Amino acid sequence: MNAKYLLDAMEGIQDRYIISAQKRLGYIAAEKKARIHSAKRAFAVALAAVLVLICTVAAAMAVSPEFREAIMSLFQLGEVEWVPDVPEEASEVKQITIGGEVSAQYVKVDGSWGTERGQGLLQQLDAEDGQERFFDVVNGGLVEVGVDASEISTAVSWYGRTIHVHLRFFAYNDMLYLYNGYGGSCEEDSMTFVVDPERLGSRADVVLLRGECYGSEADTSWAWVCDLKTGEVWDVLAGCGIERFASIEGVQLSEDLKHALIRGWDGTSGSGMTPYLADLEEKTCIPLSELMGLDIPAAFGSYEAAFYDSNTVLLAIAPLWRPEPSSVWAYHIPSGMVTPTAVNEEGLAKIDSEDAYDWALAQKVDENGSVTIVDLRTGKQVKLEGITATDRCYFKVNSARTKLLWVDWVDNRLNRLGVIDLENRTFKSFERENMELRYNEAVFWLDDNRVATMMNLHSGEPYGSYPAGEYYLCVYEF
Amino acid sequence: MEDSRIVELYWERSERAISETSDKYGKYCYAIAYHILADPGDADESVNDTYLGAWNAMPPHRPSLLSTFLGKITRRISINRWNSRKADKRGKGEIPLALDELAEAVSAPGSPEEEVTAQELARCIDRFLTSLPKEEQDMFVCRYWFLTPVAEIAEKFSASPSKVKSALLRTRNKLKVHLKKEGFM
Repeated sequence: MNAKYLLDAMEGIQDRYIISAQKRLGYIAAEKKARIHSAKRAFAVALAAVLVLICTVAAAMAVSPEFREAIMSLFQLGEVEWVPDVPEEASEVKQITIGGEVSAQYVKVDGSWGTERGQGLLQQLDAEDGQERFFDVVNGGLVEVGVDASEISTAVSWYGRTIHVHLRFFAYNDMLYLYNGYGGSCEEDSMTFVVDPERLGSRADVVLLRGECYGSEADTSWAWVCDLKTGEVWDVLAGCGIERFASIEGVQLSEDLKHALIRGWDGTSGSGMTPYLADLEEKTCIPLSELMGLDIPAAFGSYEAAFYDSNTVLLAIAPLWRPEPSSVWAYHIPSGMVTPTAVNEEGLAKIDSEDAYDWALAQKVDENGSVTIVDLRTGKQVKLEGITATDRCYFKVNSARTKLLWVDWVDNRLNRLGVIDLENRTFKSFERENMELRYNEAVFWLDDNRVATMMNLHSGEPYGSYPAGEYYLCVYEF
Repeated sequence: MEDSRIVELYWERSERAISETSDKYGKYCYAIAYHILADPGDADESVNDTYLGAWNAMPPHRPSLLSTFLGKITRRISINRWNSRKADKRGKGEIPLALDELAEAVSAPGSPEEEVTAQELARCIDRFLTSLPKEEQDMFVCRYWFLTPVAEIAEKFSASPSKVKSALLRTRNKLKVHLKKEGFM
């Protein structure tokens, strides 16, 4: 078999996969806005919208002075990083200091490498069996961890079926690591059920089980929580009224397990998926539009909602990945307070994080290429002086949301690398040399304080001319 | 206009079917064609050929999902056009990159290629996709069905290009294992 044959055969995959990808790419025509059925609710929403508009103007006025005051200037280290030549042997670690401020370690590694969501460990993927191995960089060496990983088996009941779930995991430095390829699935009576485990924030005691099913009876999703000590599964969404929806998707649980965000569809053609906040203790499920007093368009890709923390929900219209201007509100769940934190901002883009649902910070680039960092919970803004945004000006926030890494990335060459410390208000960077034609394939937070880059040692070589992946890993601590 | 009504127009042999298809799905078909061909003129031709293909196919076909029906026609026409191009032009677009990437997943000596039908292989890929988390499923289909560039996928998934590349690499490795398990390699 060759790749062309495989690519051609892809044409015949089931339509549901194509449709799902179409949605992600934004190729599906926009659906109509959800109708508000009750006049009472329409009045409540209209009144709340007026109040929010007043708050929005007030907040925009309040944000401006802070924007003017908060400026952070780049401090360029005088010393240039001279990336050491690659050693012959894999796993041999070299260590230097750059400008007396940044410690750097370099190690050649074989195979496919990545990071486990910026949570402190490197992953190596076995090309033969697809299994992962986890490594830490300790005292200048690569140390494998997780060799004593636990495994448990449990099950969830859904639509009258039992889906057996198998989990493999370990905790390291109070952080939970889950192995890919575990979970569970079953196919019965023209229905397919799939359950995948996911880490729930920083919790190491429980795991989120995300379920999806499709077929003749339903096309929906659900979420459960599994206690990793006992294997007990809690149906945390049960009894909240979520069962009334024909379909739900995008379930997110707050880390304290008190609330859930979902997108729900009532089964009416063209009504779209509406965002809801479920109170898992009070067993309620209320539209976010009602709680926040906003008219939220239901069409796919017109809004985005996520937990900032267990007490705060962020809502963006339009989502920050779209080209049009976005507005963002922070909803404080205990008090019900709604704070507009970005108002019809152009050029607002999410700052990447290792967690797909996390979009606590955003970057804003003006027409001159100046870059401003926006805290989407408070609306506070920090203008960065000394850099201009180019196509590949790239930021990534650490999991504690205290630091941002910044890279100036041109033609796969990572020419400058820096870290913005939002707490201590410093922004340091250094230039890099001696990278030859090696492509930098990845840059990521290894943990909250260490940044790593991965260089492909076979950049530009035709496929098949080298035996296996070889990378040069560079780890920096500012 | 509702898809079912557009399909009716094809069955009624009304030329309005083409203009309605163009209004609703023109950009969508163009995006698929352009990713494959990387040439505006060629992409336009593929889209026009898609309308002709749809006109010839309905009747007898009555697709329940018009978007995927049209997308498949565009994809097939564009790949065929890419194949028939001169070598210098064939280097453009996402196909060479996608083929390079997939080569890793199917590299095995003595594969029984001739004995495997495309349909059997498609069912095997279906089973593979079923086993993946939703995010991985979508990313894989975006890349290898829609031939969407990695940078665009990264934007749509709110991820960095490097993250998308490494996720795709992991999925291809899993596919390799799956193909082996099912006896396709």
